[in-house]
Amino acid sequence: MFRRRTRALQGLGVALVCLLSACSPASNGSADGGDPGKPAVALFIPGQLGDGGFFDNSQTGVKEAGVRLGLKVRTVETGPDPSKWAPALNDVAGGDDQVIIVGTYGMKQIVEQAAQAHPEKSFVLYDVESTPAECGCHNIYSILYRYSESGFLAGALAGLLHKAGGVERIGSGNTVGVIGGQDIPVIQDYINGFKAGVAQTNPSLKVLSGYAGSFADPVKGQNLAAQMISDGADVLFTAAGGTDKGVIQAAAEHDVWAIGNSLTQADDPMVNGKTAVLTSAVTSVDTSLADAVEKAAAGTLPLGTTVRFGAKQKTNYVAQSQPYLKYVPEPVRGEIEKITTEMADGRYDSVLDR
Amino acid sequence: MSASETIAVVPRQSGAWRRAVLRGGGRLAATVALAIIVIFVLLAMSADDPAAALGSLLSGPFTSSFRTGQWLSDSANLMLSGAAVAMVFRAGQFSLGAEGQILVGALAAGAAVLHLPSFPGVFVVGLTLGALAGFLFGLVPGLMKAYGGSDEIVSTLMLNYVATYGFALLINRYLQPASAGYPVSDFFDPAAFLPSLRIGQLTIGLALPFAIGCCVAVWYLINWTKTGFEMGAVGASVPFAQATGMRVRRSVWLSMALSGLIAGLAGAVIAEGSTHRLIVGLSANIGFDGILVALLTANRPLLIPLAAVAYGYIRTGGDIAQLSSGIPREVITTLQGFLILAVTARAPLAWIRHRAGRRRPAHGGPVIPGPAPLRAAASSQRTGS
Amino acid sequence: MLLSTILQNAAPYVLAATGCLLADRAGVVNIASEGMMLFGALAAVLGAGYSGFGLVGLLAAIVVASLLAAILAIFHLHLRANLILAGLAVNLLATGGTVLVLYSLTGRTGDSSGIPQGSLPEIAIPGAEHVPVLASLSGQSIVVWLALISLPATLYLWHRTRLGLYIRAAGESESALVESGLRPNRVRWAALLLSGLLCGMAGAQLSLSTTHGFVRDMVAGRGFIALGAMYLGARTPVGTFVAASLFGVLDAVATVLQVRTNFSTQILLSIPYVAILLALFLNGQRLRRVRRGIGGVS
Repeated sequence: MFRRRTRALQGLGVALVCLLSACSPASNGSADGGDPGKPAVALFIPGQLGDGGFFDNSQTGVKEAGVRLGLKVRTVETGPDPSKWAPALNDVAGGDDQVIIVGTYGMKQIVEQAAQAHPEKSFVLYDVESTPAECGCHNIYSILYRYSESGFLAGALAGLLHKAGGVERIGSGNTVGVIGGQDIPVIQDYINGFKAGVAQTNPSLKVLSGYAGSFADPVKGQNLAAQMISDGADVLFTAAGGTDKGVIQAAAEHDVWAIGNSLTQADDPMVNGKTAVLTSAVTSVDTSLADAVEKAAAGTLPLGTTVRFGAKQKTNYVAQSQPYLKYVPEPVRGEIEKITTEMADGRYDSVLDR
Repeated sequence: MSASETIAVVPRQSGAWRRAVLRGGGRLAATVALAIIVIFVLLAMSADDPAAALGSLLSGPFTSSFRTGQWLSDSANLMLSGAAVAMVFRAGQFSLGAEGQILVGALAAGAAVLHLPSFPGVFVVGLTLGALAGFLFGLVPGLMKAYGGSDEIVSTLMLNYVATYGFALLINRYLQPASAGYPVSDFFDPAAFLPSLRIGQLTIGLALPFAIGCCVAVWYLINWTKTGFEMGAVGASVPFAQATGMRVRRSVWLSMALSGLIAGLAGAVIAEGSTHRLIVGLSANIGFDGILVALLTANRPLLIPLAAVAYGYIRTGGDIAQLSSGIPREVITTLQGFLILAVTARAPLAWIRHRAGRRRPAHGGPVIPGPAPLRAAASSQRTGS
Repeated sequence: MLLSTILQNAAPYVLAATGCLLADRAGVVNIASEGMMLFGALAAVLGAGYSGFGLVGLLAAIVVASLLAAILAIFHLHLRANLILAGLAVNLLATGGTVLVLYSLTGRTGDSSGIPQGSLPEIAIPGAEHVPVLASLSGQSIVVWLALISLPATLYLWHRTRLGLYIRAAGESESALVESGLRPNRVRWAALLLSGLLCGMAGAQLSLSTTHGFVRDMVAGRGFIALGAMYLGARTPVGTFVAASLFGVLDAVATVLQVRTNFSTQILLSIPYVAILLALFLNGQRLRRVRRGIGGVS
C-alpha cells in the first residue's frame, strides 16, 4: 500500500520527465536503408550538434549527399569530453562504416592513429591537414578552409558600404565591429580576415573586435554588440555560433546591420519583424563534405591529398540574400563580386595567409 | 561522530539489520526496474530501434574488451574526483572546486612533461606536480575560509571559472603549436603516458589501482589519523571541536588543500592517462560528477570505487548506445538526471508514515547554518534508509 | 557604459539570487537555479512564440521553472533524496530536456529558429526620454521592473508577513516552527516554489528580452553566479540584491574593456569572478559575524 503510493509518485516523476522530453521518433542518427553495394558513411562529431555553425553544417552536407546518393549515413556525436574522442573513434573505425568523416584540429593525430590501424578504411579529415609523411597513413583525404577569406569578404563589404554613402542605416560614424565566439585560432582567422578586408577597401575605417568567450552565450553576444554600437559601429560581422543570435538581436534593436556567417542566417534575416542580417559571408563546410561523400561513393576520393577550400572552390562567398539585393547598392555588389573573383585567383593570399 | 557514520551504525542493531537489507534490496530492485522503464520510454521516443539501443546501453561496456577498458578508465577518473570531494565533505567543507583543481593539476602535469626531456618514469614527475598544483589551488579557498571566513561555496565556484579561463589562456599563449586551429597542446611523449597493464585482451590503466589506492588513503586518513579525526569532528560540530581544543582552522584549510591535492592528481591522471595532451574542455564536468559519486556513498571513501564503477557503467553504456544506435546525446543526459533522482530517493516509507499522521519532521534535526548545505544534505541522509 | 545594459544584465541575477535566498533561508539550497532558469528560458520562448503574447511566455517560464522546483521539493522533502544530488539532477534534466523538447518541436538541437519570436512587454515612462536615469529605465521589460520591485517585496515578505517569518524559522529553528503547530516542509515547499517562480522570470528575461530566442545552454552559469551572489550578500535581502546587481555591473565593465582594449579575452572574462573573490576575501570577517548573528555556528 505504502509502496504503491510511492511508486505512483515515482511514476509521476517518470511522467514528468516524459512530458518534459516529449520527443518525436525522428532520429539524428542512423539513416536506414542505403544501397548495400555502396559505402556506409559515418560522420564523427567530436563535440555536440546544435552549435549553429560548423558541426551542424557538416551534418547538413554529409546527410544531403548521403540521401541524394542512397548511401547509408550516420552521425556519431561524442560530446565535448576530449578524453572520449580517441576511444570513440577507434570504436567507429572498428565498425562497419567504410568512410569516416572527422573534423577539427584536435582530431588530427587521433585520426592518423586510427587510419594507421585501419588501412582498409577511408578517412576524410576536415578543418586540419594530415601529414602522411609523419604518420605513414595514406588513407586520409584532408580538407582545409580559408576562413580568412570569408572574413575578408565581410570586411570588404563593410568598408565599401561606408564608402558608397547613402546606404540605409549606415551613418556618418566611422566604425564597424566584428564579434567572435571563443578566442581560438579558427575564429581569429575570421577576425583577421575581416580587418584585412576593411583595410583593403576603406583604410580609414575603425574596426572594433571582441570575443564572447563562448559559442552558446547569446546574452554576451548582445552585450558586446550593444557596446560596439554605442561606440559608433553600424556594421557588425559575427562568427560566434549560437552567440550570433544576440549580436543579430542587438543589430535589430539599434538599427544597424549584422553580417552573418551561414546561409541559414541569410535566409532568415528577421528579428521581431525587422530585417537585421544584411547578408552572410559563407564558408560552406557542407559543400566540401558533400563533395567528399560524392567522391567516396564514386570511389575517387583523392586519399593522401589536401584541398584548401575557398573562393576558388566557390565555397566562400557573400550570399545573395533578399536584403543584400535590396539595400546594397549595385556598384558595391559588383565590387564584391570582383573581389571574390580576384580572391579565387590568389590575389589576396599575401594578406590572408597566416 | 559524523552523520554518515550514523548510517553505518543503524543496521547493526539486531533485526533492523535484516529488515534494512530486505527493504534496501526491494527498493533497489524497484528502482532498477523503474529506471529501465524510463530508459525504454526515452529511447522509444528517440531511437529507431529502442530495444537495440537499450541493449547496448545495458550491456555496452561488456561487448568488447576495449570497451571494458574504456569503462574502467572512466571509472578511475570518477573515483579520484569522488575521493577528492568525499575528503572535503567529510571535513564539513562544501567545496565545489574539484572541477577547477582538476584543470590546474592537469595543466601543471602537462606543462611539466611537455617541457621536460623524456626519460622513463617522467610521468611520475607530472603526477607529483599535478598533485602539488591542486594542493596549492585548494589551499587558496581553504585559507580564505579558515582565516578570512569566506564562504567556500562561492570562492570555489568562482575559482572554477578562474581555472577554466586560465587554463585556456595558458594553452593559447604558451602550449599550443603554431599551426593549431584550436587550443590544444602537442601529444605528450609516450614516456609521460600513464602505464597500463595488459590482462589477456583487456588493457587496464595504472589509473584504476592508483585511484582505488587513493580512496583507501582517504579512508585511512579520515578514520585512523589524528588529523583526520579532527577534520571529521570539525565537520560534525565546530563548537564541539573548539571546546575540546582541536585546531579548527588548520582542519579547514588542510582538508580543502588535501582535497585539492587529490583533484589535482585526478587532473594529472586524466591528462597523462586519457587525453595524453592538454586540451580545452579537458575536465568535462568530471569534478561535478565526483560530487555525485561522493554523495551517492554518503562520503564513505571505501564505497567510492563501487559507486564510481556503477556510475561509470551507465556513462560508458550511454556513450556506446550513442555510438551504435545514434540516439541523441541529450537522452543520456536526461537519463542521468533521472537516475540520480531515482537512486537517491531514499525514504518513501517515512514519508507515508508522516502523511498517515505520525508527526515527524522531515529533517533529522535543526539545520545548522555554517556549511548549511552539507548539514542539510547530511541530515536528510541521517534519517534515510 | 550603458545603464540600460546594466539593468538588463542585473535583472536575471537579482531575481535568481532572490530565489536562492528564499530557498536557502528556508533550509534548502537551490543549486538547481541554473536548470530552472534554462528551462524557464525555453518555456518562455515557446509560450510567447506559440501564443503571440509575451506575458504568456513569462507565465509559461514561471510554471515550468516552478515545476522543476516541485520535482526538487518532492524528491528532497518527501522522498529524502540528497538535496545537492537532486539539485544537480534537476540541472541535468534541464540541460538534456530543453534540447529534447527543442528537437521534438523544430528538429534542431541548437536553437529555437523556426519558432515565432516573442517579446516581453515593456514598460515605458512617458516623457522620461531626457531625464538621465529614468531614460534608461523607461522601456525596460516587465521583468527588469519586477527585479527592481523584488527588493522592497522581499523586505516586506521578510519583516511584515507570516510566510517570511516561517521561512526564516524553517532554516533557523525548525523546532520552534514544529512547536507552533506548523509543518516545516510546507514552508520549504512554498519557498522552493517561489524560488522556481523567480528563476523562471530570470530565464524569461534572457530569452524574451535581452535576446529573443533560445540557444542551448544559454544560461551559461548565471544560475550558479546568482547562488554565489546570495552568499556574497551574506544571505540577507539587501546584501543579495546589491551583490547580484554588482555582477550585472561587472559584466558590463568586462564588455566595455573587451570592445575598447586589447586585453586577453580570458583575463577580461574572469574579471567578475576575481572581483567576487577579492570582495569575498575582504568581506569575509564581516560576513562571518553576520552569519553567526543569524543563529548558529560558523
